[in-house]
Amino acid sequence: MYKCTLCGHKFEEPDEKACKSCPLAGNCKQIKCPNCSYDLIPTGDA
Amino acid sequence: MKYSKKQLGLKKSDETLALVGNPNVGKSVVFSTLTGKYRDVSNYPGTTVEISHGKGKFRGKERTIIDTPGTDSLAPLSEDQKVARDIISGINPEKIIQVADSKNLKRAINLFLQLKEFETPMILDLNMIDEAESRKIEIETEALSKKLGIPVVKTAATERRGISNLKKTIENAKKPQIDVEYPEKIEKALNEFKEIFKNRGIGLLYLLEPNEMDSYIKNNFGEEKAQKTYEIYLKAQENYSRDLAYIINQKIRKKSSELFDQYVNQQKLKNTPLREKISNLTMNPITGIPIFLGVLYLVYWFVGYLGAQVLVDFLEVDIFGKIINPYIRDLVIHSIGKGAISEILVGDFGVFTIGITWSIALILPIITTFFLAFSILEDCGYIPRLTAVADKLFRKIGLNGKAVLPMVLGFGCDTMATVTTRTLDTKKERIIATLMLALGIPCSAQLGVIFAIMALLPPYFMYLWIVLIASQLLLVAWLASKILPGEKGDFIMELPPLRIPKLENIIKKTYYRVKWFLSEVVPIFLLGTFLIGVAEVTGVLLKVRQLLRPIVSGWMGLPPETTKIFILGFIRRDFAAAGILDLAQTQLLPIQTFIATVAITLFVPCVANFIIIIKERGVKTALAIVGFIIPFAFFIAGLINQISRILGVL
Repeated sequence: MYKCTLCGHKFEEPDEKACKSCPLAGNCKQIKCPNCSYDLIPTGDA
Repeated sequence: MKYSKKQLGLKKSDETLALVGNPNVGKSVVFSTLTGKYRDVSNYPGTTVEISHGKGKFRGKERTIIDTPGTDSLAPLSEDQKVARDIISGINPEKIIQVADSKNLKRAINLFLQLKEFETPMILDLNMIDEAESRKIEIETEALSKKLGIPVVKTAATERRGISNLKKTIENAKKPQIDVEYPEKIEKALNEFKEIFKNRGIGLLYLLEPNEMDSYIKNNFGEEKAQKTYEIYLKAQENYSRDLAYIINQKIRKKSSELFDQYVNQQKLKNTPLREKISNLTMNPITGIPIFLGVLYLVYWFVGYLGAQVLVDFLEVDIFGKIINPYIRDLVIHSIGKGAISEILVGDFGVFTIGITWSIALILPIITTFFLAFSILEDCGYIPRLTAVADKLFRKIGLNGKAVLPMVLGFGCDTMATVTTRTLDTKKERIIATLMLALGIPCSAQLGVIFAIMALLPPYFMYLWIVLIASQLLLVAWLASKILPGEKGDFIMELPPLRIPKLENIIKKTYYRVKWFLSEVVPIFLLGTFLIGVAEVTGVLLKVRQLLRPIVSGWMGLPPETTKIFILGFIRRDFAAAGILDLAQTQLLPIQTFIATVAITLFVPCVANFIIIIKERGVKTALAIVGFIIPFAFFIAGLINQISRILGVL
């Protein structure tokens, strides 16, 4: 379970649809919040 | 195609119950508690939207429960909204449970006031009641139930609290009995629609979104009814200068505000903790803006001094300038001799002399210190509060609350933020948000380098730069608000607590971001310098320089060497900003540095951003955006030069 550091939304599945469109997403470790699309780094809290 | 029970493998006689609600209200958890373990998931025809349905027994009666996609409105703009509409009007469920987030009841009532027009028996489930209670939000359930004319129950589905009561209440669902006071001509139209469709719901959606609903009605009810509907709509619209959708949404919002004020109370905590007090100060525009400027100054000092002066001086001058570059230059020239290839590798624009040196010795230390500062701000919970202040400001000038988000995300990466603009409701909004991002939001890497440039100049240049970019953005936003109706598509945030940041999180976040920069961005730099090197050797660069001379030197008053910076700007803005930083240390006057920085801030962010604009908005729009931005950037920068000359600054 992740918690978005921007909007506080809790989710299990990040928004992968948006990431697939990104030309820079090859090695990116960031995940996208499905509620607000913020790019977060998974940490102990997120 | 009309969506029906048949497509879910149900018989006409099967009784159905639809779960409807705004996004993120815990609808799926409610669905699981009602249906148990088993569920069928099918893709809605022609879309990627998934529909879950399962069986549940309530007071001995079996029902099929259908989970609809979360939506704030039934007006069919997005794919999810279309699917929700099709289930309600196509399957025509016997009952509806509207699942609401108790903390955001106004948003739920907005949706309820659309749903009630379908005249289906309903229950309002006030879910997440535990979270509302912890925030001292009190909802007068009985009085609200009486007012709406339907049962209202409280649940905390994640804890299974209130679920048995919800199950018991299902058979008592009732048709809503509340009215929104629409103007007379709209009421008349809705009643005429009822004669055609047996309820006012489809007619209401037609008035909200006539184009999309027209084809829906033609396909599902036939040409004749579609024509009749269109005539009713035209007759109603001719009485008003504004769109009917605007008038209807205003009335719905007014009604939901009234109901909210009447039935929802939020107690104020007697002793506000210090943390809460600081949090409130950061979100109040009067105190929030000075706090923001103070935070910005700290970041500017941290990045500008530690990153740009201490670390860059050490890496660029001592390591690359005195050791690595002379060694590589000698090695290349001794190995392959002087010529075109050595020029491309170690010449003035060489892959080593510019590409690697700028990437590692100039930009890397700056963005590392910037990412470090950003991670601290993010982990302590300040970034969401800054978003809240921006939201309040943007709303004041009438811009859609949802449009603020891509702007905030753009400060991280404009390319990813452009992907986010697809969540906006209309094509116009998406184009304007894309333009604003490309025009004036510097990404994290560029912002770091800009801070470093500003640290070389007298402090007032930094504030001048902020004022210039902010006013330019507000101007675009204000123009956008004149074209677009405001307050559509609110964005709801649940603010994380303000706290002391955790060292482990900061290190991890900074590490990942730096890694991303090295693996994704540096290769683009190297490719860019290679292409520029080839252009230099083949003489193309000289021709471009001559071509741009009247603009760069004449209009903007910059030395001809800066032309290469603007060419680099087509590849990445932060790369070009690094070029300005390099020239600022040796050749440029402070005002020239400022002019070049303004021009590069307004440039299109990078090649990747351009590609994503093409993918998201199409080639024509992408070319139009770039075709506007580049002359605009040169125009504004040149204007500053001309004004400075008149004022005698130069």
